[in-house]
Amino acid sequence: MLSRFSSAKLFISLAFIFPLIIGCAKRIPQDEINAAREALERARQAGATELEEYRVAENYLKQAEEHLEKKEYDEARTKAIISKEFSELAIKKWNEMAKKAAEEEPKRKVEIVETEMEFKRPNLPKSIKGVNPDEIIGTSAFGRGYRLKSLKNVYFDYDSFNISEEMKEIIRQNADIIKKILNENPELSVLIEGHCDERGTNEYNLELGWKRSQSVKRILMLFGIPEEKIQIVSYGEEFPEEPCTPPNCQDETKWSKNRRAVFVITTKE
Amino acid sequence: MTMIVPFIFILLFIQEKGDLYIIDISSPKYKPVKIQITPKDSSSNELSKLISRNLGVIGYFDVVRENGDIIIEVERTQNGFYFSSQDFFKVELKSDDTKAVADSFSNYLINKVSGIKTDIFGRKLFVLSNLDGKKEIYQLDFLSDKIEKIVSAKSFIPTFSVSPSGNKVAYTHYDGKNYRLYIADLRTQKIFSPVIKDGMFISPNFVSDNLLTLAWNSGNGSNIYMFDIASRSLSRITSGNTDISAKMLPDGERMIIVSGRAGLPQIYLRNVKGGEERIALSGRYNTSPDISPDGKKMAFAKLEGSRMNLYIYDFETKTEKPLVVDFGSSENPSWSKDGNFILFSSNRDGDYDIYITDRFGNFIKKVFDTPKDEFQAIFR
Repeated sequence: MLSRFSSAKLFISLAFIFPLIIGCAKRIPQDEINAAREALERARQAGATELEEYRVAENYLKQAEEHLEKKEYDEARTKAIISKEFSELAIKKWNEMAKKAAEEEPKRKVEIVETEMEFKRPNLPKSIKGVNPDEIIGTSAFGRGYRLKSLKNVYFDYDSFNISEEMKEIIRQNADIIKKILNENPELSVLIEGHCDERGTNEYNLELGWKRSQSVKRILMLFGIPEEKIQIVSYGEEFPEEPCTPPNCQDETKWSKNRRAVFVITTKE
Repeated sequence: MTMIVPFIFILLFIQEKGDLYIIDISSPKYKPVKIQITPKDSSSNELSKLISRNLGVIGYFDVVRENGDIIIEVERTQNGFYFSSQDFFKVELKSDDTKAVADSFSNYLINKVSGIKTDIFGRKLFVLSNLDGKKEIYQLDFLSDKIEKIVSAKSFIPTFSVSPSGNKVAYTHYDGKNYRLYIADLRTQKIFSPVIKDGMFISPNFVSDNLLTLAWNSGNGSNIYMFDIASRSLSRITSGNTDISAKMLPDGERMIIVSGRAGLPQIYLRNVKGGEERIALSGRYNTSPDISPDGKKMAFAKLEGSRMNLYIYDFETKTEKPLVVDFGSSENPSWSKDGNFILFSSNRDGDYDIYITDRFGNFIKKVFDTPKDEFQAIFR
């Protein structure tokens, strides 16, 4: 197996190894073992785990660690240095293979991938006890629950998840309604959806929407809704209340209506 | 399903008088070269149209019908096509695939005129679009109108990433409760979810074909993790509880992350072993970073007024230059594999479409548009 690798490289390695061993015979080779571990980790992160060189490096490191445990420091040092060399070889070879694959692959024709992604839909009751059917104004995104006329949205400042005094009062009023509904319908809970305006990346807005729903959840708990009855979700910028209508997409009035938390009555998780 | 691999065999026979390099694209004062493509026979008409379309989206050229600076005559040969341009070059491309010939010649001509080596024509694009009402992943040949869906969503896909080999696509998908990570292996045509944990997985980005950076919010805010696909292990990198969009530099030792820890999103350069600094210091709201293939530069979006503009940050000089400014709201810059061009999305015409510029921001051309929005495009 060794003959497959650069003999010059190994010769150079060994030329370094023996003086090191002689010079450091009595020293615990912790630095060498740490270096071998780091090199192996870099090879693993590069994705070179399928290569023979990686397995050799892994094997030598294991041997080095066993020698270290037995206080056979010379052997431990030698094996650690060889392990590091093979890890470096694995990284180099893998990078070359990846480069070659990247050059060849774009010409490949790809067919449609059939997806089998899960989607969980809650089994919503047909009605909510104590709630007039006229009060229900529809289902929320992905049919996760019912939206009620009396549950008002909470709105936020730009790029903020802080809740103003005015919005706290809305949460208090919503909490009173939710408490009544949950008392009569113990199988139900409340879902808070966090939404953002379209500015910023999808990723950032998903996180911001989550923080908004989390902020509302905390206040809702202060007003007496048990934590286990509150679910949160972020939809980021996906479901604006006031969608952008080209070419008038730079509209603060619309954006302010989209930065919101929406209250939804749903089943318990 | 079977995989079809088209066999394209192109031979270039070239006679030329040295290099042209007519324009210096690093100088903002260059003038586009007027290119005139003249088919010498009817069987070269289609090829001439394809080349004209290709060159029409590269601002180094002005495709004209007459009085061209460079007049290229095209004629059909027994095995392909023959191109001649006065005394500059004579090239024969041997292939029966007209589009492949058009793409190869377009890449060749960009090199002759500007000196840069590119392979963008002939590549494929992955595009995130809501063409069917939900954000899903599509694929098309660069500059083709023929688009095919490769990943359908039952809800929506916020973002995606393509592996260095182009064989894997990573994305997250809302499953009615959590945002789960999925990986589509385009060779095996299989999709799998390698990690089943509650919470929000967002912004997966490939480091290698087997390693991802991603953000995971398990209930306390999002942090950056490394995810090893083979061992399915998650290793935590940050603990800021507001970190997203991590991308590794080619040295494998540094990564950029976007974090909202200072209030608004900003970009940080982090050493994997510890230590980090904020970069691209001007601007209150910086996001959407993408690193050039050589790891020397970063394209990113900066919110200025109510619009996102694109900038290029230089890791060595720690300076930044405008790339695309006052062009609607521009986001999601993505470098071409050769590092010469950058794709991005912009709502300049109302809905979001995909545009291309070069690394100097010399020109902006629309390259893909549907009646709906295209949010992100990546060269395969």
